[in-house]
Amino acid sequence: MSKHPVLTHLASAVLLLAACGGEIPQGKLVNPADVKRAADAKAAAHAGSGGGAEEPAADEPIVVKPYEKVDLKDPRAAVPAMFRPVQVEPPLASEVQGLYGGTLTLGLLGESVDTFNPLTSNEATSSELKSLLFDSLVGYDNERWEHAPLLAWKWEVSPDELVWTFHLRKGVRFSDGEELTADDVVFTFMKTVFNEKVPNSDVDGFKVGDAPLPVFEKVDAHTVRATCSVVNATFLIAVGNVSIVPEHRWRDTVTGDQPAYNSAMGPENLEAIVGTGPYRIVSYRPGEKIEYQPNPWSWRTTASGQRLPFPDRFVAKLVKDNSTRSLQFLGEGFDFIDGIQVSDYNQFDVKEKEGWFDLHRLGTSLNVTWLSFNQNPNLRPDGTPKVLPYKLAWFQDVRFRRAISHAVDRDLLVKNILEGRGSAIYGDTSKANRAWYAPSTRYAYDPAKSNDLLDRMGLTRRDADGIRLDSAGRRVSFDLMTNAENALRCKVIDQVKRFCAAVGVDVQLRQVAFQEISSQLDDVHTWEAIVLGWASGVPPDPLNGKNIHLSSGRLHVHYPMQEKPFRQWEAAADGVLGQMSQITSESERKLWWKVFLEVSALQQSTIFLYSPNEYAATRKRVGNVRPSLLRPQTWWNFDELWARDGE
Amino acid sequence: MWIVLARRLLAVPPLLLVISFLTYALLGVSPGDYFAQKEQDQKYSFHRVMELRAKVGKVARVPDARRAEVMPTFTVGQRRYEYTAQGALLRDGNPCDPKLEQAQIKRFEKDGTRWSVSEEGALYRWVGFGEGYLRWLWNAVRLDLGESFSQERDVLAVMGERIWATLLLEIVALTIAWGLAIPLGVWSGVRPNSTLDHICGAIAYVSLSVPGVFLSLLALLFALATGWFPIGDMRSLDYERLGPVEKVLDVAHHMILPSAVIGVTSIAIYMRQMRGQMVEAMSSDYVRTARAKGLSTRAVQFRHALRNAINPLVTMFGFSLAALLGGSFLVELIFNWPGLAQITTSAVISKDEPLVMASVLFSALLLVAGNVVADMLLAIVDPRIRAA
Amino acid sequence: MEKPTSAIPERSASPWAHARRKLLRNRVACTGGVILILLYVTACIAGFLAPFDWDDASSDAAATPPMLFGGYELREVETVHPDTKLPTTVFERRWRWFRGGVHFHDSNGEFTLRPHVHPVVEVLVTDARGQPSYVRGCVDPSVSLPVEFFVSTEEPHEVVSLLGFFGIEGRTRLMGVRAPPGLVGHAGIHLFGTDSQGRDLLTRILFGAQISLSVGILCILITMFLGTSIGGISGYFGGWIDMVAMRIVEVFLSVPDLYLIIVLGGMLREIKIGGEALSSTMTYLMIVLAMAFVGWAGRARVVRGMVLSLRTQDYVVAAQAQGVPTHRILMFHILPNTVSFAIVSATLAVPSYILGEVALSFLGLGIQEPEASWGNMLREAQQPGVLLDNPWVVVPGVFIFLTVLAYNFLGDGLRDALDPKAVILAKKKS
Repeated sequence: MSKHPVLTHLASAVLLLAACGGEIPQGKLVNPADVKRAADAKAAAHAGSGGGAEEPAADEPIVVKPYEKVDLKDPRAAVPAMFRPVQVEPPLASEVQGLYGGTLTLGLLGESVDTFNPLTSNEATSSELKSLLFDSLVGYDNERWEHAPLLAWKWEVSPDELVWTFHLRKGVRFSDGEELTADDVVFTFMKTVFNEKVPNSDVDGFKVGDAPLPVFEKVDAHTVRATCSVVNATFLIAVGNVSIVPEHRWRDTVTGDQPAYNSAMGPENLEAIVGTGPYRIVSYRPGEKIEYQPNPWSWRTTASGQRLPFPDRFVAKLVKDNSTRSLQFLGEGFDFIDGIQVSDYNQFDVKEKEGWFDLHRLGTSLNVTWLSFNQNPNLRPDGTPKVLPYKLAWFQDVRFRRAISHAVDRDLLVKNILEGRGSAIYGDTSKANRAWYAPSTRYAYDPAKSNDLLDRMGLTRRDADGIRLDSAGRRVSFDLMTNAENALRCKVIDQVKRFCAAVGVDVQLRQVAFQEISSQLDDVHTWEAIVLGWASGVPPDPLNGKNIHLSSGRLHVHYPMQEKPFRQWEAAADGVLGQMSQITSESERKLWWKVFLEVSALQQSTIFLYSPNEYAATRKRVGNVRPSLLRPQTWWNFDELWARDGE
Repeated sequence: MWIVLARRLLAVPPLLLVISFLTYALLGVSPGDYFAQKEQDQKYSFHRVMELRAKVGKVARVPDARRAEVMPTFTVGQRRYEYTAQGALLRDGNPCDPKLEQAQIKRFEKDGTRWSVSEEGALYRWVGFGEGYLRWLWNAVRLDLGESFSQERDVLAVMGERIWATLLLEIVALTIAWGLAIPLGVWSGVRPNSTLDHICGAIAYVSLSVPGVFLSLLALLFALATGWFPIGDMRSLDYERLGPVEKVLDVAHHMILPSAVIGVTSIAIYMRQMRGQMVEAMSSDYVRTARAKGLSTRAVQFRHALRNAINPLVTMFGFSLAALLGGSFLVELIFNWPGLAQITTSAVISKDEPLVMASVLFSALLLVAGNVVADMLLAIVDPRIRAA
Repeated sequence: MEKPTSAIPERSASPWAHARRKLLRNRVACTGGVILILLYVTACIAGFLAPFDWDDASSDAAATPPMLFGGYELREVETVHPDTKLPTTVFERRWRWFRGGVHFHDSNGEFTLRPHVHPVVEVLVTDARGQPSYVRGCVDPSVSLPVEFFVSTEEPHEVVSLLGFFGIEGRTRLMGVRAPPGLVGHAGIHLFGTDSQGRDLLTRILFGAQISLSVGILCILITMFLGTSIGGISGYFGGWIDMVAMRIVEVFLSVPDLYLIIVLGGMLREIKIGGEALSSTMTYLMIVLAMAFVGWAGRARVVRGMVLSLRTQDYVVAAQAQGVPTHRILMFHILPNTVSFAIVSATLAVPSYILGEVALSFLGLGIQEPEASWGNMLREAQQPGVLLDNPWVVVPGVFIFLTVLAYNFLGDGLRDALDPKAVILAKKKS
């Protein structure tokens, strides 16, 4: 054992040498300078046509992969005896085919799960996993980017768009064998989601201004009617977020001051977790894994008469560290990995040649990284201003924000920090968002314009270091923070410091724990500038981000929870979003969204920087993988996947 | 010997008291609290946040019946509030809904104390630091260490899930480290400047000089490159389906790399100490006397020199128990070991106070236990101490 | 007590001289000492030795491999499209030993004694799938640029600095490469390569040394001061002072260091002065304070033990009898005898603080970028992807390794030479 370090050193030395390469050079030697000159010339010719605005997103048609066929005579294609007979009317009748047996394992970035309660779980880990256990009325097809029938086989909406009728499938059963009826649906909505004593975020989607919440009622055993008081553009999305829970289990837990439902379905009692999903949970070990087995009462059937899901076991492996997770996948530790870090791409690219997994290059992400300045004019509890008044004056000056936006070379960020694997962005929505992307005015890299704007603000004098001084002789300097856990963002703020120094603005960097950032954004508000990112929801509808965009929103970063809009443009933007949430016509909503993007682009309250490329990987042993840019990228069709080798 | 034990055990409670106070103070002094953000989270009502705060003794809830007695009236801005004898809230003499008054009464000051009224009308007093500690202590004495803020479960349950994984790794690493360090140290101490001594010395130097974090990472890459070891984790996914012997082997296989990484750094320290002690003992008068008596070299080495040389090592053993807990922190993180490190680092960073308090107390307890064990062992190996 | 001085003259050499002689005879310890001296001297003249400024970055030179060993050449390779299986050509970089890095041929291929380097060019190409992709850190082998020595810079920069605190400005650098007009790419010498942002690793290692090497020294000075004074006082006076002090020590020994450092580090970091966050120097000092705060207790305990035994020595008792004031006894009779222990244990403890900074950096709580420290430079190597792509990012780790090793060599040598126990024993017997 004591020789271990020597071994490791040797091994690492070998690794290093191997990585340096040592093979005989092959191929034609070329001069990189020539290649660069040629590329520059090409870029210059191309740039001549570009203007101030971005080109619109290419509207590539959605490609839907055809389903694989299997030999249905194979003994493994026969429906196992563990499935109980069910008669579902109408059945799902999916085109998918597969063979039974085996284990599929998912590498999930996470630590532990606080609860399996689909309503009160508040971390990403739990909410992605809830759909394994529970179904909602309406599903979502990540491949076609549209809603799909699930527990409700069809739905209708009245001409005034206020009354929705959902027709449930008959014969669907919960994993304890009880049948699902309209009562369960009404219970879920009226007694849990809309229960004020059950704090949850699913209810947010049903709120439109101060209008009362919709009323869900039972029409007959398999029909539910929802009556809204106002038109809600995102009603279907909101319904799709709600997992239906069995009334017979939880009927008595939703009353009182502190409903027991809030702590129901904790990890200590897995038996109690009953849903209509394709799987049921069998074991959970914090920090290690969550294990699922097929729901014996699963109601999902295929056109060829098979019952879903195919595997004997589905395991979600919890890994806390993203790098460890990548290494584990490459060491054949599990079958799916989503959200591969850009810095790990090369390793996956090289190993892909070994041929045992597919690396899915999903293109630009929907997630965006941005920089924002604090414009919060409020006071701290002790009466002092949250932001130093002279700095607040800069941050609230649109010229300053535009100047910083002009100073930031986003292409360089993409090149240096993402190694070119990403795209520069200038607005709220990345180009990958085929439905909602719209070009808007951009304040692209232009140090001359940036200097000019700062000069016009009267910040012309400079000190010995070349840093600008204001009229009172104070250095133009601000604190820029980001979360220390994210190595990429730490590099971003480092670069931003350099960009700002080039136009005479000093930046002090602070890498802090994420917890501090969230307490800063949510409560303390004494930060000066911050670099963070937004992750996109599914579906990527802008109204999913009401919290971010509305001036009263909790995550309206530069000045959250405004009692009334503190600037005219904020009022205008709020108005636009208000309009959007009450129009159901997609094309009209897109027009309004375009207006919103333009308003916010002109203000540069949030200076958008880049979207990385998304990569995910699956082992070849998994059948029916249909990767999608929307999360969960590789296993969103978890009910259709199967293990080719049956192991 | 039993007196020594009793004396040591008597010293434990005051020690824990001071440690818990110190930790509580450190957590209290640093700004921000876990709930600051929960207050803004729509999933948490203000009432719920205040109840959670009350659980850790940050605030005291005034019994509903005594509201009027404790806080007959108070004024916030232009508004004057009062509690009726029944405990209902009045604004300017009229009944009001505390929910609508939140903006005003969420936090106010009266007579130099901070107060809060929740949307349920419950009255809370913000307690001072000292009182807060006493409240925590009172609960802790009754073995109620509170609920982890982040997991919203009993702290002891949260720790209980993790503790065995950590202890297992510690104990194995400790066994490896001591099991190798003592014989190697003795050997090189008996024959200083021999080849083995030089090799051991070189390895000790090298292992002392590599940052542990980096060594862990190299070990992971090593596992990836060779495929000989699993990449992190404590058990394989099929663990439940294995037979009892295979289960043990499975965990053992997973444990090789992390325990080696932890062990390697500590081996060096103990080995060098052991060697030093042994060299000193071999050159001491009593060994010379024993030699002169004509005892065999082996007998002298083991019966005389070793028994004297090992005393400081026994003391070190006690310290090493707690030191290892610190040393395994980053290793656990990198190896995805489902132990205490993962939850405690995030607890410290997110100020999950009950969890931090509990884990600090636990490690202190471990250290004290280590010391007591060391004292006992010392008493066993050294008759002089036994007599004292 | 009188000694016949003439009888054995060599015995009259002071214990210090004896120790010095013993230390100088110890080759391993001397090696350690020399390495340390070299490291500290280079850290002090980092500004002169480094070919760049500590935050200079060139995007063209991102992820350049160490020129000391070679460089990448760009090659056009025939391959097949991974999906369509049609033949395509892609650009790949291939390693070339020595000739790709620092070499001794000018642009015409003639051998010269002056070292030359190629300019580094980053190119945007299309990969096998037709996706744009950057090939980084390739050299242009057609151009060789001479490395010049003692180049003068336009802007004055700090050339000498006492571990980052007191600087002297100058305009000279040891070496540099001048970019000819119209050059495509980046002209510069990167002996140890660059990081992903195109910052020269050698430069950052040199400037990082100012921080990493001083962290240990500062921490140890503080812990030594606290440990020795508290241990000394409690050991000498005994009684309730000793009781209280030792209980405090026990408390500190019972709390795991890392918790305490994380909590303290987080706490001290929040301090704001006049609404402004702490400058990088202050953050640095805060980290030092946090690490020192948890380290003093162990030392205090050992010093107390030593003082406890010294207190009963004849010469102390004699001094007490003569009515020498307590502070004089402590200062002149007792503490000097703990010095040898202090030196040895300090030397052996410095590495733990250097490694401590690395561990803090791993958690993102160490010295903040863009300031360089060995710990935060190594952070880049903690992403396995980066480590395998650009293995040279471990170079700071090599320096950490060297430093810690050297401290251990020297510390052990000092222990053998000074042998604190032997000193005390000698006093006891005399």
